Amino acid sequence: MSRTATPSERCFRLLLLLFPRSFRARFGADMRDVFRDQLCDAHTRAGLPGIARLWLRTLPALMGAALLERAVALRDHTHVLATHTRSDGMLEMIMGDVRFAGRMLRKSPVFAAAAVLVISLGTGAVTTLFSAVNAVLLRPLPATTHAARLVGIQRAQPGSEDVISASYAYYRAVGDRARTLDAVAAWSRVTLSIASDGEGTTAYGNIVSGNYFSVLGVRPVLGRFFAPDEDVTPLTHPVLVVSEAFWQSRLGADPSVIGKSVTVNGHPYTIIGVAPAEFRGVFTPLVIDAWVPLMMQQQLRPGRDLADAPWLWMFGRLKDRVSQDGAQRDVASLTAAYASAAAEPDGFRTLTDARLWPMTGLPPDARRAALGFMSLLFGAAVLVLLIASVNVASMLSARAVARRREMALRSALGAGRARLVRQLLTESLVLFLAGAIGGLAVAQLATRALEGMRIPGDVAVSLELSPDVRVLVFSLTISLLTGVVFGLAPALQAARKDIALRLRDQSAGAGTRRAFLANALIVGQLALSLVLLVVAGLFVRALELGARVDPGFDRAHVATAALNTESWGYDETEGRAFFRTLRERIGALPGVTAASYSSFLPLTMSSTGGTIEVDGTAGLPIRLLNVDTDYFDAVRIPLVSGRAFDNTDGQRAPKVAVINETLARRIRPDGSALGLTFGFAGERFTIVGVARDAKYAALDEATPPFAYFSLAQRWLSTQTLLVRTGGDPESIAPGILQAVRSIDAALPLPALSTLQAETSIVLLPQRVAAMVTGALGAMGLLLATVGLYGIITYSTGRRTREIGLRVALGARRSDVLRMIIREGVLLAGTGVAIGLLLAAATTRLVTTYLFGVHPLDGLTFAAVSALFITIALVASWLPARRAATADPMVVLKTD
Amino acid sequence: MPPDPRSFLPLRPVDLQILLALAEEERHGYGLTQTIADHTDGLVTLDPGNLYRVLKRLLADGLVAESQRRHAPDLAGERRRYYRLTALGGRVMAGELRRLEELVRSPTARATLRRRTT
Repeated sequence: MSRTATPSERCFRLLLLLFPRSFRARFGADMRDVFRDQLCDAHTRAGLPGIARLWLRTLPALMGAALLERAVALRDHTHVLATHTRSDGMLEMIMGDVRFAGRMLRKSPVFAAAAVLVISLGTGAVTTLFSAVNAVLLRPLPATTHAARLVGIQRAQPGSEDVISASYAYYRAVGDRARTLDAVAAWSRVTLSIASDGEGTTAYGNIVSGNYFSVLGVRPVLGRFFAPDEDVTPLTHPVLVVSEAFWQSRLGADPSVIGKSVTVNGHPYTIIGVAPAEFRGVFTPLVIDAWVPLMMQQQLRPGRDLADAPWLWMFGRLKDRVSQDGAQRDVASLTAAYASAAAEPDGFRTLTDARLWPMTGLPPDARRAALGFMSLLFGAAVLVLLIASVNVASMLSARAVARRREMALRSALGAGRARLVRQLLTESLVLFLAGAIGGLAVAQLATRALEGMRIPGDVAVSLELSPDVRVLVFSLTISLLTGVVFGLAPALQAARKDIALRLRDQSAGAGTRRAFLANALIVGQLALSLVLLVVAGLFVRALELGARVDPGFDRAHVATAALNTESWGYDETEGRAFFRTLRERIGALPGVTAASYSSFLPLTMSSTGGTIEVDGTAGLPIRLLNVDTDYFDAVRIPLVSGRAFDNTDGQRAPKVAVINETLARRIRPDGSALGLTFGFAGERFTIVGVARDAKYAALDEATPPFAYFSLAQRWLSTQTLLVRTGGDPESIAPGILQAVRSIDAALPLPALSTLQAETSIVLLPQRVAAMVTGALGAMGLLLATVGLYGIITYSTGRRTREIGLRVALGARRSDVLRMIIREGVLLAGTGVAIGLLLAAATTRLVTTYLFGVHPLDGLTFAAVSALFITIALVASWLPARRAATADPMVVLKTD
Repeated sequence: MPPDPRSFLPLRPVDLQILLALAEEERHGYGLTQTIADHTDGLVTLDPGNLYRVLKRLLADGLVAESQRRHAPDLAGERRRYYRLTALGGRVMAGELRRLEELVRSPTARATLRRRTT
């Protein structure tokens, strides 16, 4: 037997969370064992249907048992003995209802299975999205204690969106004086190359203040975290904490790893601890392999300092009974005092305010963006749940008609209306709860698929979206709610008092009221699915448009690799030599037409800005990029005039810049920008070339004034290699790795990618949105179509006699066909009309993601409507044909 | 002083089934559900939740206990918890069986049984 847990087992494990903790701790593992064996049994005996039957039997029993056990725990806890018999009686009665409902549903397994499947899809959609929202936005930082009291801190400009990273001096100023915070910690990201036993690997690190782990309240699984004395004197404690994943994958899960010496960026470090697997740092989507003390900054991030340079993230823990607002005022006043007293560069003096934000795993700006985007998708999922619920409501209502006799009988035998309603409601609740479990299984699969999605970018991203208790509670609550809301109307309808009067009436029992309700339900489903598909269509249009936007450079045939010489312990001289040699060796490879570097890749949502001074007026804001010689050849941006950077633009040569057309027009509308000089960052640059405008950070940006500087003159230790080839960029990979190895065999091999793959991140939101809303819309349309088909079949079935009569009296088959199809198309048309109105009212919400596709895009609206009408035609044509081809004599005789 | 076995009577049907199954030999959870299903021709099939709810109560009452004996790891290579009948459990079971026997011997019951079998 395979030892990986099946979806059934995973659901069971989640369900165990319903039991009190003590009960789970004592019997949980045993219960899982028993259930696994029962699953195994059921599967060998009857395959999937066997498993379905086992679930049908186990689910209500398990939930009942959990409820009773909770009641017992509550009673033991509160010693309220007086209410014990009464509540037990209540529970027994509810359990009785549940058991009866289970029996009734088992009697009509096709109905039960169909309903549970539909609800599973609906709750599955909502649960998946909620899992994602929960993981990214709601869940407190995993593995931390007092997560609710943790706050992120940013220094800000009063009354503006501008924030700045903290400098070490600012961190100490706030950390040492804040009266509202227990402690304040600081950290930053750092790229490390860690070599253990000679084998080097690139690792994503965090360089952290000594109290980082204690402020977060994380406990090591092995060894210890940083000690206070490791946070005092620079360069005295080369120690390292690794993540559990890194320990597993790179250090062979060796329990004696504590005290082991490894090489970090070329220096010897000692491993002192292993962080728990669940701990994912302050920004949870970013992979962290290791933590190093801030005091080792000079060695590991020599480009920064422990003085005024702003490069740190800060967070603190609120003191008991201190609100975030209180701490905000405290930190803001400390910031104001610091800004007026500290000897900082001029630009910082205006940053006299502070922003505090609750820590849920994302920086505040990313959190805002994610919140908007995910609420959108969540809204789409809610629509699907609505469609599914409406669908089930119409099934229940059809079933209510079929059970008129049963209800009348039971009412005649003395069951009151309330009793009947309670019973019917219990049945739909059991259905919806079973659907919730199915939905959890759907969510398990779907979140796993989402986790597997590759997200391009220069940092490793890994998502952990799997459902937790919060999701379980959400899913059960929402299905109970929908169960009550959508089960109540059919239940009331079925238990109507006058039903006994209609008992004898067999054929025309469904009055116009019922027909109206059923039709309204179908129209509703069609309208909601239309909204979903219109939104999906708009995203597809945006993707299409995005793919056709000319970025102004050529993304094809370029291999890329992010390199960081600082992380290898190289100083600037060694770094410059490395980049030069690598470029020469790669340039000599067969098939390579250009090799260059840039500080980051274009069109990857990254940008750097600054202000330049032209003709004595300062303050013209620009975007900028540092590039090496041959950059314009590597990405194929043509120069409009002048020249590109070349080898004469060395470190000591006069400083030069290439600007884009927009900037050239801005400073010299007459086109004479070439040869002009401007001031930037305290130096003067001569414009030697003008490059054609391109897209720089995002596809929908307005072209900014842009300047390229020479990497030789503004050197950086982090550079991204770009290699243009004649053919497939991936085929050049071995050559690139070989070239790196030939320079220094001890270097960790860089991760290779292509410009095409890396720039695909600019369309990621559209791609995800099109995928999710498309899948949801297709699901909704399928449900609505099945519903439409069902209702047409049902109504033609009821009218068999009438149709037979019409045919017998000389109506042509085409007349019959037309009559029935008209009924279906009328319903679909109403649905489409309402859906179009709804869509027109809602698509404005997605405008920001559409690259200028109009939210009322005619093509999308028309195409989706046409699709709906076509499908409605097919769905009503099938039953219509059946009715029209039936022999009138047979029909008239049988009824 | 050990509690009076009669204070536990009458037993719930499920309790009796579990005690009976354990009277034969020590069993783990799944073994119990299997045996009970066999004994009752599939009429009583216990889900894990109710099985351990009942076991918890029987453990608390001292009618069953966890087996101290170590059983060999099963095929899946795990050690499972086994349960055994306690002396008190045995007496309670016997008491319940006697009660049921007397019930069956009552004139009405015997008359009914006779009518049914002929």
